[in-house]
Amino acid sequence: MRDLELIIVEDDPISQSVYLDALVGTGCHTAFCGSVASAVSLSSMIFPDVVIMDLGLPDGSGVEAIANIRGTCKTSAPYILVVTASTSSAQHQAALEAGAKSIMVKPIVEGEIRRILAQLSDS
Amino acid sequence: MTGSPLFLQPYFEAEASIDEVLTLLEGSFDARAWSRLNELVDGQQAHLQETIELADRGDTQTAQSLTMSGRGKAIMDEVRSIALDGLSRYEVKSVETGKSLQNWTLALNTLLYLSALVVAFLILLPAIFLQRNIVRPLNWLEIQLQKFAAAEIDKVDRVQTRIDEIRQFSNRITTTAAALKKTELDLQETTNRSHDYLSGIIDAVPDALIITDDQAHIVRCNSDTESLFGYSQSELIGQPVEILLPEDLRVTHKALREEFLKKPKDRPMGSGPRFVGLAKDGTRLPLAISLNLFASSEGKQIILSLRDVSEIRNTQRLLEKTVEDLKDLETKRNQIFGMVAHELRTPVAAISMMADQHDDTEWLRDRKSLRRTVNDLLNTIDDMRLVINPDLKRPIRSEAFTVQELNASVAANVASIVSSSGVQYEQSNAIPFIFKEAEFRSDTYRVRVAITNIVKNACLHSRGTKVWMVSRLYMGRDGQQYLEWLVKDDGLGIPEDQLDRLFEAGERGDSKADGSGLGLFISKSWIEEIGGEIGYQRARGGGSSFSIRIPLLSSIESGLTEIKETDDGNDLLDSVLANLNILLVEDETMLRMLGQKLLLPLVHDVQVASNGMSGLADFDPEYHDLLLTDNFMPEMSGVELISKLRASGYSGPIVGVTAATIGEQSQDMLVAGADIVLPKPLTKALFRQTVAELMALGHFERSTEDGTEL
Repeated sequence: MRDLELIIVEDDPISQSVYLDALVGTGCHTAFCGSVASAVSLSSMIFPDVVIMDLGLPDGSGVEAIANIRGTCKTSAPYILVVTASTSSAQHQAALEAGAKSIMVKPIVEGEIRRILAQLSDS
Repeated sequence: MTGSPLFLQPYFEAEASIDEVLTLLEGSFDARAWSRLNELVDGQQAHLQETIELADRGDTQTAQSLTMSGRGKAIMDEVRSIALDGLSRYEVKSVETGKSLQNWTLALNTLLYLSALVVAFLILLPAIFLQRNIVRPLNWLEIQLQKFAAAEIDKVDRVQTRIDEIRQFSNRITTTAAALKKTELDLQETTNRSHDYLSGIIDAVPDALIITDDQAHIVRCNSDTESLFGYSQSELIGQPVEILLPEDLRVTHKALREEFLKKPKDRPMGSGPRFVGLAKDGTRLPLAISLNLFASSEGKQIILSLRDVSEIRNTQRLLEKTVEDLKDLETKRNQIFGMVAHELRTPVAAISMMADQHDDTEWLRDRKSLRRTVNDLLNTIDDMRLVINPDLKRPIRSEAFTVQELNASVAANVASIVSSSGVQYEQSNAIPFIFKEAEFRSDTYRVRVAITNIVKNACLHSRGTKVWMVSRLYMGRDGQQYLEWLVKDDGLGIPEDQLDRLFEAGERGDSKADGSGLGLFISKSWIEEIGGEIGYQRARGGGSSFSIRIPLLSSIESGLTEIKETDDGNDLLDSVLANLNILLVEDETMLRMLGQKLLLPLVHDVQVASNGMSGLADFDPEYHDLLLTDNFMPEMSGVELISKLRASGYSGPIVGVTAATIGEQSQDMLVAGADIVLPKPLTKALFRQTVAELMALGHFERSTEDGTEL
């Protein structure tokens, strides 16, 4: 069981709060950001284990960010979980192709987030 | 003729005689006589034969009658007459015969003699031979044997004598042995006594004493040797002395001791080269050594006295280390002064700039930033106190802050280092949006200094090109949320072997850059004191990664106390304050004016004096209810002023106000008679609190009464 380096890319403050509740006691070092640019910048510094990615971001699409992060963090190969309100399968497909590991359609399921994190923390 | 009857015996004898005579007379008879004789003899023989035959047939009567008949007698008589005749003729013939016989006898005798001679010769010669070769040697042998026997007997006698002598001697020896045994026992006792005495002396010698033979084998050593080298005596005795030397010195030592034996010269303690001994457990022992050669009954022996000088050397080393430490301390002191000067100059410069650029109204407007600057200054001064006396704990403060503000002040603090070091510095605030404007509570000075310290270190020492600082959250496994600042660089990272000491005082990693080395140590203890943590790990992607985290406490939840500058609603205190007349003694014009300005709204009157001398002159116990005095002033110090007032009999309240929070000076004013000593700067809240404390001490009763009267 190790502490995870986690980046949450989510521009909605209320959604961020939901993650806050979900993360209690998980041992995650958690950085929050709300833009493609900051997501890319933080990733290049932190080399995260996990990225939770919203797709609709003010400065671009999360898909773009996923591709970029995959490129930057080749060695740490972060687990990218897309959490989006979008139900467009085309968008989901694009995200998966860019390098996302799994996709969760909002609303955010706390238990599922915790399950994924616990699994990664133990691996 | 056996078996013949006895009566025939005379016949046989007669016949034999006749035969004998006939034999003898043969030749001396004439032929006729001779023939007659033979007839007669034959007749006789026939007669005899007849008789014998008769006797043999057992007809003894007839035989006897025959014999008695005389026929034999007649024959015999005739024979006798013939024989007599023949005899007479024989006589003549006999003389002749005698003569020839004589000749023959002579010849025979001669022959006999000769034969005898021959016989004698034949017999004598062997006899002589025998006599000579056998008898004589036998005799000689006998004599020798006799002699030998005699000698043996003599010898036996002598041996006997000898045995006797020996027996005697043996007895004497037994006696002597007994005497000797006793002497030996006596001697043994004496030896034991002298041995004990010698051992006592050898053991009493304060040095390790070793006696060796000329081949450097240990023959004796004392108990100090055992305790110095850790060997028992039995392990050492018989061993070459080199056993007590480190292997690298053994060969050299052999050469040295051989030289010593060639030219022996006593060497007093400490005069020779320094030796290093080797204890059983492998410890190398620096030794002073003295050598003495002496000739004993067991040959040349060498006495070695060894003295462990490691204590002396340790002391020497300690002394050297102390000198070094002192130098180090001086260097550190200089560094600290340098650091303090730097830390002080920044806020002072800020104040100075504000003072230059703004008028009074703007001063008030910028109060917030001014207050922060001044707080930093005060904190720096507190830190100096902490450096000088590490036992003092820095008081834990609790201030409201926003992460945004804190990050901004860190950025401001490191700006000059960043620009001078040439690294690229990036800072981002990755806490949830809802926290960005939120007020948290902590000892912000500690947090700010810790972050600033680590960022500065990264800029100066990482040898990287880039430094990042990110503020984020750590969701502790204990359920607690933490604010976390991650400071990362792309430099070399901290070498493994320095990690253990990374947070120790005086350590600042492998760097030639300036720095007090106190930064990480102080930061760690400060952060831990407020429930946080500072950690290091190798950064992902290379370089160093430090994290500073503190428990996330919202401003409302904070359990930490805060000095509140609000009205505490104490009416009695207010009435005392309203009637209070104060004399403030302060030599610094600015502080004197500020103090008067600060206190006037709180109390009835504030008068001022600029040093102890004028203070003493101006203080009127009838008017002034309280003396507030600085300590370090020209003309007369606060301590002197207090002493003089107390000596004059004044028992009212005196409060010292001093900037000297370092060291013992504040104590001096208490000793002189001050009731309370306050640190500068004076604040309204602090003053109110102080007056309350003075009331608790029983002061201002007159004022209270006055107040009641009013």
